[in-house]
Amino acid sequence: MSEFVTGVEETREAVGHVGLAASATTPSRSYWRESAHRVSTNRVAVACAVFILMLTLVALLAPLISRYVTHYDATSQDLTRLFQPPSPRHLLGSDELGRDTLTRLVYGAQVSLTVGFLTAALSLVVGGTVGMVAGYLGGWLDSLLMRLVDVILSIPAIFLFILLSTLLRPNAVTLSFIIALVGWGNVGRLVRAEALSLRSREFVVATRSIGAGTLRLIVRHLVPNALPVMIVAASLAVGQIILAESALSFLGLGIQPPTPSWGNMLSNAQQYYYHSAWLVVVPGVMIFLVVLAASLLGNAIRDAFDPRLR
Amino acid sequence: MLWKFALRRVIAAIPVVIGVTTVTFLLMKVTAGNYVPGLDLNPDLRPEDVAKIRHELGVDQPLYVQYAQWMIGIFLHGDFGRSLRDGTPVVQHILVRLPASLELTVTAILIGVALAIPVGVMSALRRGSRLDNLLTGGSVAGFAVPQFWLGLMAILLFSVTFKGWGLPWLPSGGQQSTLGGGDPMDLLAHLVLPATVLSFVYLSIWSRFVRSSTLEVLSQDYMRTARAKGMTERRAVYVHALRNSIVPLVTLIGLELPGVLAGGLVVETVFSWPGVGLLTYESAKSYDFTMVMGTTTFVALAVVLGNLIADLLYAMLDPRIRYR
Repeated sequence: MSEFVTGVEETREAVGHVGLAASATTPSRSYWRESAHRVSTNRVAVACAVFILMLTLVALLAPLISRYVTHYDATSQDLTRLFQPPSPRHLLGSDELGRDTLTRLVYGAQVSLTVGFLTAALSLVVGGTVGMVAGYLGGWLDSLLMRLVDVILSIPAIFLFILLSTLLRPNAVTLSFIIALVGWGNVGRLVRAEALSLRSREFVVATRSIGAGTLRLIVRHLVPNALPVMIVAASLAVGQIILAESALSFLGLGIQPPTPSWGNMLSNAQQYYYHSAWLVVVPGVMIFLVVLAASLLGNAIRDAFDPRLR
Repeated sequence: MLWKFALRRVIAAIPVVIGVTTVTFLLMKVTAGNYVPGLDLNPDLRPEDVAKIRHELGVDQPLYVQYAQWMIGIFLHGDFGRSLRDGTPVVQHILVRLPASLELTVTAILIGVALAIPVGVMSALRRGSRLDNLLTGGSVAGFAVPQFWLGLMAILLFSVTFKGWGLPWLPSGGQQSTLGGGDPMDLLAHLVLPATVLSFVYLSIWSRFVRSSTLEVLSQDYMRTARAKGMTERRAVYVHALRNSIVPLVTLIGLELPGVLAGGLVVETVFSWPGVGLLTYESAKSYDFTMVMGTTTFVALAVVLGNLIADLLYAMLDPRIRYR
């Protein structure tokens, strides 16, 4: 742990005295504490985090909500009450099969959040590993892996998603794997750059000189130091992943009906513009709000970890 | 010097081109194998007919032969495989749809650039003002809007609601009217909504980029020199600063090309715009895997080419780059 702190102190000094005032008042705070503090004092970030946490809670409690609040099942149809406008009985109206929109929205949150977080985690693991190996070992392996990243990033993502999801009949988990298959590229690039710059630092040279193996060096010393970069990359990715999921489900190539997701709810709704506009508006607003919250939070986390802004 | 740089960039693009074609081929074969939709289940076909169709499609060959045929087809004959449904060359379908896609993406990029530059420069010049905060906030929000939903909302407002109110309304889809369409005004009316929706996300990315690069340029030494020489602020900003701050945008547009084309697919689907994206979507819906593989490869190669052009253009505009 001590090398890790040293590394960070070095960056701070190298960056100059921008953060002098802050560190004079809070001299003993670690890099992580300081970053956490900066996120928690950012009002926008806190509001976004609270929103995402509440939505996660709602998604987790979806079965209870459908039972005790809306009194409808996500897939139960009522063909006598189609296209009900919002009313006390259906708080957000009902759709073309008489299903309750609010209940479906709540279940849709499960899909979006599962895919968002799972994909981010998967890309982090794959991209982190590839980036570390490529950046630390260098040489032909580095060139090979980075050309692979170039290749993956030059194929427009949605075409790849479509190719894969026509073949794999996606649910939330397979969809996450599909999106992560493309998403790791960006993380890989960032982590590689970080590993490359860490590799020549004195503490790494020192650790190697006392006989630490490559694996130990990467796991114990490089990963903790590259963690801020990874966290920032992942938190910025979540919003874009949720967008990708909703686009795929909208195209009918993501989550398959009757399982509700915000994307496939919109895809059904687009035929009923003329009389039931709320079916088109509500799921889209939810996607927008979640993605907005995720990217604002991601920006705040990025700024909090950025030593130049201290 | 420029030629050397160009040659280096072209050589660097070769592994990516080979990689792209190999990756799409492998993904397709690993997941779908040699499956032909509807063939095995069709009760009207005798086993020997099935074998014959499989042979004609080439899926009875060993994997390495198929791979060799795929690569030779692309690089020697410009052949991106054959449709699984009717055996027609994929490239023939692509060429029919390509003009529509180009029309849409080029218009969207132009709209994006034309709006991003003034927006970015304005927020940079009035950094920290209310206008700057508004524009920056708007670009964060623009980045979070799902494109397909924006398309739906645009149709809901400009086609459905405007029509309902008796206002002049815009068509909700297609490239031209089916009856008596095709005159310039008709084409333009069909283009406005999809192109604007497609440009929206890039407007927010590019305007933020122009803002930060303008801020960077404004603090350069030569800007101080220009002002010290007594140059008017207007001339200093709009001639000296602007040129240098928007040149890097060329590279960014090149880098965003995969995103623009991917967004194009979604927008084409929402507005039933008859481009390559809609072709891919329709093929995916009917399980025409080879068609999806062909269009994906084609689009990916277009991206590599676009990146190359952006790089070269940047090197032409900014001589410093060539000497790196």
